[in-house]
Amino acid sequence: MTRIEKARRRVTVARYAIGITAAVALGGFAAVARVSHPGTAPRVATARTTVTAASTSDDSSSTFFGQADPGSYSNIGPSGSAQPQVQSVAS
Amino acid sequence: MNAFRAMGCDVALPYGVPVGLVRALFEERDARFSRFRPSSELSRVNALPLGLTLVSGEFASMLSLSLDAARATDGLVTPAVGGAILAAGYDRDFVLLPRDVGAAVPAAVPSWQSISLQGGGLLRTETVQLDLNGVVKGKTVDDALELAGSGWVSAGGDVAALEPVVVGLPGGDSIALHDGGLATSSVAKRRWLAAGVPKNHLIDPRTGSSTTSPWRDVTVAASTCLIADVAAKAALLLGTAGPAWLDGRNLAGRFVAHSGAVTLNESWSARAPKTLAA
Repeated sequence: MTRIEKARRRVTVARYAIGITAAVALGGFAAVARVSHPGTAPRVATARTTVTAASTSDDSSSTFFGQADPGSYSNIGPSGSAQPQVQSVAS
Repeated sequence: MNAFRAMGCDVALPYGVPVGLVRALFEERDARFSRFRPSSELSRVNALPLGLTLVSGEFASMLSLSLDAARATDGLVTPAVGGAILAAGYDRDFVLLPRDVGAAVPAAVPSWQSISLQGGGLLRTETVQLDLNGVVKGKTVDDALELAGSGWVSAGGDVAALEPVVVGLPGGDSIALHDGGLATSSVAKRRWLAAGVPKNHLIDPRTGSSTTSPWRDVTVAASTCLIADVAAKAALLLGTAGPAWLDGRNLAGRFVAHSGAVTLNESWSARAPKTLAA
């Protein structure tokens, strides 16, 4: 191996090491930022209680129109002569 | 009944439920997800509409639901419409909007797939102004009902119930909602002009402009208010294909045309056949 080849090899190794160090440092920073961010808590405080905001699933298409809402589900029926208690109209 | 105003609409719930807790929830969600409050987390996120942004757990959860809705509706109900609604002229609280906002041009709606959640970060690979209105109100009504623990909660056309309630529908008819959710998406309100051209708040992502659907109001019943609301928006945007689209998902839908004529899909007719009048 010539001196030039040895020098090139040293530069390649150094670049690789710098890349790994930077990636580790960035990951550590992201983890610290996430933990310390004031909005990270997954629950939101209300006046006297807490409510879980929503699903955090990355693949939850079944949340909509899938198994979570089976076809046999029926929650409406004729109202007869009863007067409306509430409206479902644009506001 | 108890009533207050939040998220730009009237919120109502029966006496005997903890109205203070429900009101606090609506105000907290409005403060975080409002497009019109400079201090909201949504406004902060939209100030840098590209790349990686750290967001709160609450924001990430709501955005995750919004992406689920986009996936389930083939992108019809998408959080990526923020830029298009601004371009249409709806850039402030509706009560402050002038009757005619001046010229407006359609804005292309980026793909919802350019938005992703990476741990606690939001990554946008295209410039995207977010608008989470497609899910925030429906989800908040569901959560408010959970807080209330009984009765029902109504907000701007969205109703969630744990016990039977009679609900008035667009055009003057009514329905009995036994439990779950009922939501109406409508272009009858929140309309304005842009250089004389009628606009409404429901953006069709396929055109980047206000919908020209033949339907004025679409009401959907589902197991939750969130599902009903998302389905109603999608069905309205789909136009004449809306009734069959809902039937394909076993969802009951009631459609009111701009003329006032009412169409029920098969699922609605099977459950409440008498709700025909408008």
